[in-house]
Amino acid sequence: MQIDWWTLGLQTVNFLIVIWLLCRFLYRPIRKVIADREAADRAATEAAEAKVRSAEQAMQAYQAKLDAFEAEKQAQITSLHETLEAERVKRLADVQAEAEAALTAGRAKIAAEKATAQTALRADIVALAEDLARKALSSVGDDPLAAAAGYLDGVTATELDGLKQQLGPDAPITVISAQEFGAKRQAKWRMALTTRLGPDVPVTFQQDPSLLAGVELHFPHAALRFSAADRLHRAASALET
Amino acid sequence: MEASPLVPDILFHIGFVPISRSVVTTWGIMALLFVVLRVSLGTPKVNAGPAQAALEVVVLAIADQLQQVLNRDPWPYMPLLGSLFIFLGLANLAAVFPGATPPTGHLETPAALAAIVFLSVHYFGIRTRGARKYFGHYLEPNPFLLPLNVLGDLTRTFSLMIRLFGNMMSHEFVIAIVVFLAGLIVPVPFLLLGVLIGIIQAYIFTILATVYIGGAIGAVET
Amino acid sequence: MNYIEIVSIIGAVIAVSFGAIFPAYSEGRAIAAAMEAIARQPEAAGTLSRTLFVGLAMIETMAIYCLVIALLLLYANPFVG
Repeated sequence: MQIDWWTLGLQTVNFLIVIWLLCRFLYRPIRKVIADREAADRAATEAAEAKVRSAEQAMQAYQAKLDAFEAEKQAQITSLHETLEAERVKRLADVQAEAEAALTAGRAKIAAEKATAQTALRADIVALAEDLARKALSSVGDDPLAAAAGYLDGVTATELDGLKQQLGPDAPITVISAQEFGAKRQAKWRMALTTRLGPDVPVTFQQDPSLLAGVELHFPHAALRFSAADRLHRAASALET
Repeated sequence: MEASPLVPDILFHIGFVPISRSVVTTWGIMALLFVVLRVSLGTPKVNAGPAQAALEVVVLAIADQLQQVLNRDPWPYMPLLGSLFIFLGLANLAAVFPGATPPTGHLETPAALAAIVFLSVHYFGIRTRGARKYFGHYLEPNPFLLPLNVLGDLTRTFSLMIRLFGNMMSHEFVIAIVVFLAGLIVPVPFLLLGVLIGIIQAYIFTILATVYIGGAIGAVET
Repeated sequence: MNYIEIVSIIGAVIAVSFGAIFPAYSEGRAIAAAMEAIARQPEAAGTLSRTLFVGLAMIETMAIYCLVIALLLLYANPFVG
């Protein structure tokens, strides 16, 4: 067993040279290549990221534009709504004012017409009243006794019998006059009635100022009216119908 | 069977320096490495050609293994450990070439490598952890174990050397015996086995050196 | 024949045979244990096989020691010539 120290030393040196050789010609180039590759990768990644970023920016700009458009649209819609609203309010106010004016005018016109009509009506009423009064007063102006006698003379015998049968001792003829009759006029009336209806006819006299003028003959179941009130009443009924 | 495998065979002398067959083979390996690297990696390209890609694969595989053992960036340790693996692989496979014998089959080359590893362990340990802390770990777990720790360091280096030498030498020896016995075709399987053994031994040597360095820098529990 | 040489040859044979038997046995056990561990945890196969190789190298060192001793006895016997 012997060791050649020269060989040992030479091999040591040789191995150190191998280490240098591999460092210089193997590890360094390979590390450089790997670093280059990583750098290229990083560059590519950064380029891609930059692209992505620019794309994002473009998208944001687009979004911003879109938002602006949307806002403008909203503003336009709002202004349109406001304009429409104002228009509507204005029109409504106009129409209301117009309607108000028309109403006022109508009311005024109606009031005027009413006033005119009332005036005319009043004049008519006055005329009618005058007419009625004239009629009523003119017909009873003359003697009511003659009118009553004339009526009783004019009626038919059957009607006269009907009237006669109503009368009895308990059922007298009541002569109602507007003015109080004196004894003279009472005697005249009694005589006139007895001559026409029979001798035993009871006659009572009463006074009623509401008759205005004239006389009314009240049988138990009938009445003969020769008074101004009756005339007025009949004229009014004629007017109503 | 005349020549002892333990005796270095001196080919010639340069001056008074004897040049053994191992040294000549190592020079051949260096020249081969130089030519191959110049040709394939003279101008490294980002888009690697086949030769460059193959070399990259080898180097990165070694770096990956070292990284798994050391749990840290393997590149500071690549010059020593990667070179160990590449050189040992080529040296152990030198038997494939006619006329060349593995330099590791003689005691001097493993001894030189083991010495370099032994010194490197301390170098990396001191550089990484500081001299005080590094030498302090010889006193762990107990100062009384200092002699044992030192002895362990020496014997593991010795066994590193002897393991490589014994494997390669014994294999050479076996082939010599087989050739002596049978002759022509029969040694071929043994030569193939030699390829396997050579690569495994290179791997084991490198891994053990890595583990020792890892222990020195505190990355691996030894 | 010198009896020292005879004893040296016998010592070399004993060294190699025992130096082969026990490392072979222990390497077999180590590989079996590693196989079981890998079968149980295939994801840890890388670490396990690396540790296995290192351990095998350690064990094999013993056999190599024996071989070296045997070769020393055979070729570089300090007691012969």
